Amino acid sequence: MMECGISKKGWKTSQFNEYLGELKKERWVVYNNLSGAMIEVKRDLYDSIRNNDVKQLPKPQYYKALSHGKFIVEENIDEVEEIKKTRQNAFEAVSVIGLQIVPTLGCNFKCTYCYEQAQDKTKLMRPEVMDAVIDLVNRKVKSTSQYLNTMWFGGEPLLAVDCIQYLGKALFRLSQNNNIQYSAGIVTNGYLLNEKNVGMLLQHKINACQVTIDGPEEIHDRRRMLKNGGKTWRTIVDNVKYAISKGMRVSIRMNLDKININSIEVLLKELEEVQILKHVRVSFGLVSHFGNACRSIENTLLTLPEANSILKQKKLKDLLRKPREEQIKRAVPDFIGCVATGAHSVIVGPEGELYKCSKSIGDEREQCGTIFGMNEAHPNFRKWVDCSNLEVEPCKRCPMLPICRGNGCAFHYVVEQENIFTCNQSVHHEKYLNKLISLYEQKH
Amino acid sequence: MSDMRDITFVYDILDTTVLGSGGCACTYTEPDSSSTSVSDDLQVMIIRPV
Repeated sequence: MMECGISKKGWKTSQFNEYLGELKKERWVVYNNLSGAMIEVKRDLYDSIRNNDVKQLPKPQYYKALSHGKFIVEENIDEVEEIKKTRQNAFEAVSVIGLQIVPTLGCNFKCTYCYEQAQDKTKLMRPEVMDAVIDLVNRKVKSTSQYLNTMWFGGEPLLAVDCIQYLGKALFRLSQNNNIQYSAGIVTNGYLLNEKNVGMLLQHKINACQVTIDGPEEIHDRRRMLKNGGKTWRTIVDNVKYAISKGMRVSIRMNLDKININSIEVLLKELEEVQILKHVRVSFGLVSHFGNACRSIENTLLTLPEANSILKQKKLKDLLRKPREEQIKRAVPDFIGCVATGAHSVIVGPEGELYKCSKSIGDEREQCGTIFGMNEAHPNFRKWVDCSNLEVEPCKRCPMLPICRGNGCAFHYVVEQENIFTCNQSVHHEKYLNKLISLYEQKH
Repeated sequence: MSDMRDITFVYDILDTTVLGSGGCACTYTEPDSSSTSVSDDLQVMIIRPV
């Protein structure tokens, strides 16, 4: 029997275990970040695992169960090296293809803090560029590919409806023909998310969108106005409501600075009044002055600690609590990365120019070739893909390593040359442990 | 899986057939992620929920 063979091996405790303590009477709980498994055990066994005293467990069957959940691993295994190998395998298998498509850099808005840089913002993606995108995916897709993820970005992508129709249809068909999973979303300012366009997007399986609303009407309209200065809040809110009614998953993004951070509650109340709040996810970003954003905004910027401190005081979880029970989900190991750090992911600009990070769109210095001759050895491609926390000592010792790529967005590390890996591990970890405890409570 | 009284699996191992999305983590939450979860904080780590 397997148990007998297994018990003769040398074992050690996984470095990715999380020890959650006694969450129910005499039930001690351990979670593993690589496998996502969670177990309840008695105190003795809990202590044995925690103290890496697993060489002589009382029952041979324990080895089978614990190794199944990756709570123990063979003594000679280097778990960080195993993650590296898995990432390499995913790379070679082209498991995931990520495409961020920018059909135009043109925009109907004139936001006060926009960072995108482009000399000619009126061009739409040409047919030959779109065909080259289709060729690229065709070349990439192999029998080992599992997933094609596309996201439409801009500029304002809904200014290029014809491109979305042509390319969206082709990419969905391509995923079907190759029997791979497909998901598609769009980041839009929401002004053109009207009935006609919602229908078009859903027809092409683009069924998730992110829309930015920067506060209550008066504040939003001073920051995110039309090119001619016209107001946008009312139209966006009406459009979001319609999109939700048609089954589109909508995420509301609020970009925060000193001007609007104290109006979050007002916005949430307004969204509740128009019956949107309970249907959307709300997330926050920070306005920053990278790229070409106007330097005059510098005085209004918040640092991350400042923003977090203010958000914490607001107790937004209570404000955002939804009527139905939300399912907390487990974090899956991140072997692929974002579009920037993913080996088979790229952003395609309207002229066929390629970028790795959406924050670099329009910045010629950050281009990494063109769609007509994509070169994955391009230095501007490699510097993102090679960005990894697997060689960083504090990260290598962190139990969260399988689900985390380091402290924050790779942009800060790669472009702004900040040290991404000096994260406040203890703070993040404590928050994460609380999430795991909630995950446990969900089952009881 | 809870076939042993001494070790009860509250959650079994994750299906990691798809190991990530390759999508943008900073401006957009992928459709397969916990897009319905509520956040009261800025995301400072790239943690990709299912």
